[in-house]
Amino acid sequence: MIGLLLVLPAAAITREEALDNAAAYAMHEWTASSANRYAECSADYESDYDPGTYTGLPYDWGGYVTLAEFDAGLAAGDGAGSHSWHGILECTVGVDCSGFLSKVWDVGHYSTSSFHETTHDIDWDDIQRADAVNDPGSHVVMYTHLSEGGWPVYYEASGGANKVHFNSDGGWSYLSGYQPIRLDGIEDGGSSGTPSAPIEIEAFPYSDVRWTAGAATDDIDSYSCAPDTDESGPEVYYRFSAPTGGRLQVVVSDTSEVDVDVHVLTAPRSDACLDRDDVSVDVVVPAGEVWVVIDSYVGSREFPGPFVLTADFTPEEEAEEVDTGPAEDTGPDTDDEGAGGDGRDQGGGAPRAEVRDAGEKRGGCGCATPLPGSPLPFVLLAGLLAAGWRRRAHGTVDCP
Amino acid sequence: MLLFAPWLFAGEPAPSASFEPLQPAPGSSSELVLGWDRVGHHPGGPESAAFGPGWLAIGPGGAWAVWDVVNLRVVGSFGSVVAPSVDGIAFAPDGDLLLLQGRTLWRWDGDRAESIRVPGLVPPGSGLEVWGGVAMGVDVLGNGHPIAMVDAGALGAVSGPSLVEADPSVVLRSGVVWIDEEPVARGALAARRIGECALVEYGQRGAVSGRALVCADARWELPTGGAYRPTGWIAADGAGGYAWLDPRADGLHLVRVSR
Repeated sequence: MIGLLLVLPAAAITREEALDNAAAYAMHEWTASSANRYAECSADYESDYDPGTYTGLPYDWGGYVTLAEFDAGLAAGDGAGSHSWHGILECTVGVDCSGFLSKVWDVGHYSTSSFHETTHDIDWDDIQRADAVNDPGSHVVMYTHLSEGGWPVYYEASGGANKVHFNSDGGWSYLSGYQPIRLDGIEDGGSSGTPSAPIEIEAFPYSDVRWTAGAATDDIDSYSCAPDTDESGPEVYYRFSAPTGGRLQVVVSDTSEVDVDVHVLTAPRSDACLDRDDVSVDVVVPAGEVWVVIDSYVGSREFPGPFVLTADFTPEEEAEEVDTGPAEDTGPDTDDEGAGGDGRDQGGGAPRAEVRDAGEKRGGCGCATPLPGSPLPFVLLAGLLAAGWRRRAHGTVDCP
Repeated sequence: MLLFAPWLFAGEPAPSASFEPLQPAPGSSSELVLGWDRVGHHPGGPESAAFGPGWLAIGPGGAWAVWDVVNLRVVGSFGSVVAPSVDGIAFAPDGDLLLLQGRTLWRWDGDRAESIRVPGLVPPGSGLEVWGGVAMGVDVLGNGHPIAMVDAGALGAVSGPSLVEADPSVVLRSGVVWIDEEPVARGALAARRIGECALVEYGQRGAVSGRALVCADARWELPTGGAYRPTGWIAADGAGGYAWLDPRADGLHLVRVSR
């Protein structure tokens, strides 16, 4: 028995598990500090990432890390991401295209030129979610689905985008000359998001991209808050623990050929429905376990497919203090905090003016001047700008 | 980290361009915007996709802006702004530059910047477009999540629907139809909405032979082949004007068309 166990291959990954892994890399929120701007092992290196909070792991040439390893590397002061012109650096952290796919498929470390050792070629007409599209020696992406108009969508770690992201822009042009490939042994199904293994919402605002078409559960066919609506298609379960009662807002985005609906429940049962809608729910929930179920509507046919879920929660005390109606924001927030704002939600600091010469309006570079209202001293700002220009040896900027 | 890989020695992609020259489409005008020594760009190399510029936006009165991802700034008709991270750029109806950066939307009028916090119901990583005076975070399915009012000279809080669904008929009019729940190309491979028109690809999967901007009343051929031209290199101004970036040997050209 022991011998048999030793020769058994590792459990094959399922398509939905691989997609979950990819989404985790694309949606991973991380914060760069000043320590992540530089790397001890390379004097020439400077990260593209200013201090700030970002979504999606940075592109890192040669990078092959788990999310935990990435977070640990950042905390240890590794440089945030790199490009091919930096060379492979031991002191930067992130993933490149093949490192990303190797991790989300949970295989060893393969390159675009060696993926053939663990995959097989397939025809374009056979491509399915979590297959990949590869150009050996160049690039590889994980295919997810076709959007409206037959436009391909895929996850990738892109040097051009400088991060792991969900690419719905590139189209088939981007994949010209590529070969679709399938991981050997990949299995269908296996989705998380079931009543026994719900997707846990651990922080707000929350966002997720998923597919009811691949959902493993099809238990609830109608809900107590809309018993006549046929929701007999597959569904995906989310759960969070509300520390107090409060206001829960959920929005689900889909496409014209997909119809998934959002339901808020106090338990994963059809009779525990607080509210539901085709697009959005804005409901007061009690303290305790709260479930969000995205279910596929059935009319003339089933309408499962991809969706984007976003959710926000306001504890009841804050909800009482902020009487802003349905608007989520708190009004204009002029730039009185200067670069970086509150630090939590800034994607890399405030834009800073480069050009102040009203007479030079086309592609010129002028002298840096602080933005009115910004407390940043001019000298500091000018210094930041000068540092920014100097570090780009591969991009000449003819500024003084 | 991988300690050794042969592609390590592939080297840095040369910063020179090797694109096929493209003649401006009839009815379009081309202007040289920036030479390759003025805007950072690496054509497709070992990282595959061309690195930079990131996004194009056009606005009223001939306004334009390009995110120079190599040099981390937005350059354009207004001057330039340092911008390390950009998820999307657009113009407000009055010509102010809008810049989506993480969970902050900035508005830049040439003299000062103001910002507003992006509502929590806007997915992170959304693109930025202006629909009817409202800045929208456009998600990966093409639907709009309202961020702020931008038509009153300043950023204003939004109210009302939390999701605005894109009009699929724009894409469907471009020549792609749905049969048996699958998109089937009728003379086209795929299409994607760009404003009130569609970006259409021709050929077959794995071998795209052409791209065009297709409107109900007009059609323009776009660059294809060679280095990657992302959708981010084509933009609509919301008033019938379109533009795209055409990389040529002498630099990055902005090609404009008006319907």
